[in-house]
Amino acid sequence: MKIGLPRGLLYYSYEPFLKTFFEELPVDVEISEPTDQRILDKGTASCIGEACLPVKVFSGHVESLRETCDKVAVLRIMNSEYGESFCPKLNGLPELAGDGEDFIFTEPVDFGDRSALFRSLYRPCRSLGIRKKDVKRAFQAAIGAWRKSAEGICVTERKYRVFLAGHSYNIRDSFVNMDLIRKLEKLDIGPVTEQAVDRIYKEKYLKELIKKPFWANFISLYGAARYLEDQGIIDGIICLSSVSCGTDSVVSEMIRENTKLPVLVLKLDEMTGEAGFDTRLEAFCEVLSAGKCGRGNGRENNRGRNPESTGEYAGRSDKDI
Amino acid sequence: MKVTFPDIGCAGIIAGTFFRDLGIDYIPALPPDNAEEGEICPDAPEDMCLPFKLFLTGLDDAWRRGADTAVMISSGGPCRLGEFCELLKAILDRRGCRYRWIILDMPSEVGIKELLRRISVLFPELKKGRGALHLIRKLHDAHHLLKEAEAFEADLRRNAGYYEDPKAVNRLISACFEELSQTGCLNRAFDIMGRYRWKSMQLNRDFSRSPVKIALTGEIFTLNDMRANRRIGDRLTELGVCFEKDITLSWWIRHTAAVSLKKILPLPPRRRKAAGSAASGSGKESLRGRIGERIAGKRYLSCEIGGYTKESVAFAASGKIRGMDGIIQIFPAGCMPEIVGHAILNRVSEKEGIPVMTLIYDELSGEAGYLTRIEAFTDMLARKRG
Repeated sequence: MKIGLPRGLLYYSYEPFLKTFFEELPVDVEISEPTDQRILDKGTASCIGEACLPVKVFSGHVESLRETCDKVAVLRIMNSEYGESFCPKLNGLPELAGDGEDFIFTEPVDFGDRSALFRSLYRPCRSLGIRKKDVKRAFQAAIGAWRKSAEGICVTERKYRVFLAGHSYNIRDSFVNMDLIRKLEKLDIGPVTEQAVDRIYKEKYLKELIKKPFWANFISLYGAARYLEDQGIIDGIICLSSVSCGTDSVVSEMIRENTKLPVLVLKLDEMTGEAGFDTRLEAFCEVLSAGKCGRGNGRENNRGRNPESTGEYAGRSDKDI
Repeated sequence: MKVTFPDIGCAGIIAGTFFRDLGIDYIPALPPDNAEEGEICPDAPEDMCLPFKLFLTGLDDAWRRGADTAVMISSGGPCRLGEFCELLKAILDRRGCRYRWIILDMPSEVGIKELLRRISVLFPELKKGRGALHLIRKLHDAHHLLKEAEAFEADLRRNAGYYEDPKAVNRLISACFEELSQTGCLNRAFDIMGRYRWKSMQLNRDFSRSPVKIALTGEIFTLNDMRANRRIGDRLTELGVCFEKDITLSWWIRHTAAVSLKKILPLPPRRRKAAGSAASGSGKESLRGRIGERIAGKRYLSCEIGGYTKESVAFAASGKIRGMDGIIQIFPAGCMPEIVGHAILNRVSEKEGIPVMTLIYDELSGEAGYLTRIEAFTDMLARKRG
């Protein structure tokens, strides 16, 4: 019995836990290869057109695992470890990725409730004939690995420092984000992700909002962006999101509304043309340098937009690219 | 205090009657003659869904006509609706529309006491300890009026194919809502409903016909708001097609109340099940349809993924049992839960053998494409029926 674990979506957020759990189980496990054009093509062909890029990439991973594995683990992760929710597409992932007969581990998984998490992982294992004590051992090892791991990127020794606001699956997949981290390195920009900021500091900034958000990534990204800005650690913010991403459409707008720093919004889709992407990164780098030299008013007019403005989307603010 | 709230379907008309009956100034979010035309607010973020853009445009317009208090519902997610209030406030404040916001959040998020405190801001008489009973009676009447108005339209649409003059059906429905929007008294509104019920019974019907029957499902705002769905109800009626939709505003009120009660009241398990089942379907549906809906729903999507996709998939999947010829799913561009529903309905179409068409709406105003597809779909269903 060989189980495939797709390298996509929340695998990147819970990699230590999932990788350890599946590798400790007494079954063959294959984790899919890093994303490439072949996987993206498979995903685009098998998934509906309206789905966002990360879901198409995930479908591609699932299709490539189906060729070599008996079952594919498509986890339906409902809540984060703090009880917050994710995008509805992640809640309906088995249905969106193809709803195959060979999908396993499709029961709702709640990372906020340890015993419910164990039960939702144990039931499919029982159907595979794995003993409960083996599942318990794998589970304890996975919890241990999860606690010890340090994720995220925090590069501060460069000329500029920028908060990279985006889902882990966009930031850590270099094929999807067109090798953004290496491009930032070439421009002497050090990215900082939300994992660099402790939870307790993020929660302080939620009081600025009129209601407590329910999305895990809203709390992480908004709280981290505001904290890093207030501490003067960053020079700008890059919002990395996919076209038609529901959660990012709210989060990136809220970050833009509430920050004085220059913000660059990069949208990812299946197109592979990099020239436009590179041009915008270079232009953003120039905005950062103008801000640092005190030239330009990247930081003055915060909410740098005239309330009576009816300007076009592209030219709404002189700090937007 | 001049109250407004983001309009959806006939909620604005019923709310207008309710507030005028209580002597509270109410300004509808979009005036009736602007209901279909008019531009989307230019500050609406491009990636947000159509309901948000229409809410923003309506509230912006209402501010310019004198509104100062905005009432907005919120939710606990995972659909974007729960975060609308946050982004609406940020954008409207920047545009100079500094509303006083009354956010009606779920009782499980803010507590029932806080929710009642927020509602009491709308009704100052309550604070003085007067008029609670009067208010509850009026709320009950308004809810009943909403059910009556929706049932009136649903009954006409369900039998649209049998009427000899379908355009008369559309005219009757428009005239009824137009007259309701002028009245300032809930009792008179019920008289109006009675009169239009009587008029609808005078329309000639031909029961020897065999019209196409469609299940209309999808996202709640697009299903119920004519600006969002480009009057799909009128178009289908003109084509002589009978259709039913499950997710209406009165269904939503029952469902939300039942779900909130389940979470906040310590009901024993037996009672909790009853509260849940009250939320599914209207009293007029057949038992066969409701049982079919539960079974078919569980087969395709058994857990809540946000929005009302679970209910919309269940309704569509039980289409064949209900005697439907086809399913039309409508939702705004970018709607996350309905995109999952779209993927599921493709599978439903293959397994159940019932044709499904998906229409995705955005703020662009071209209607010809939608009309062409609806006509082609209904023609195909009519030919399949023989």
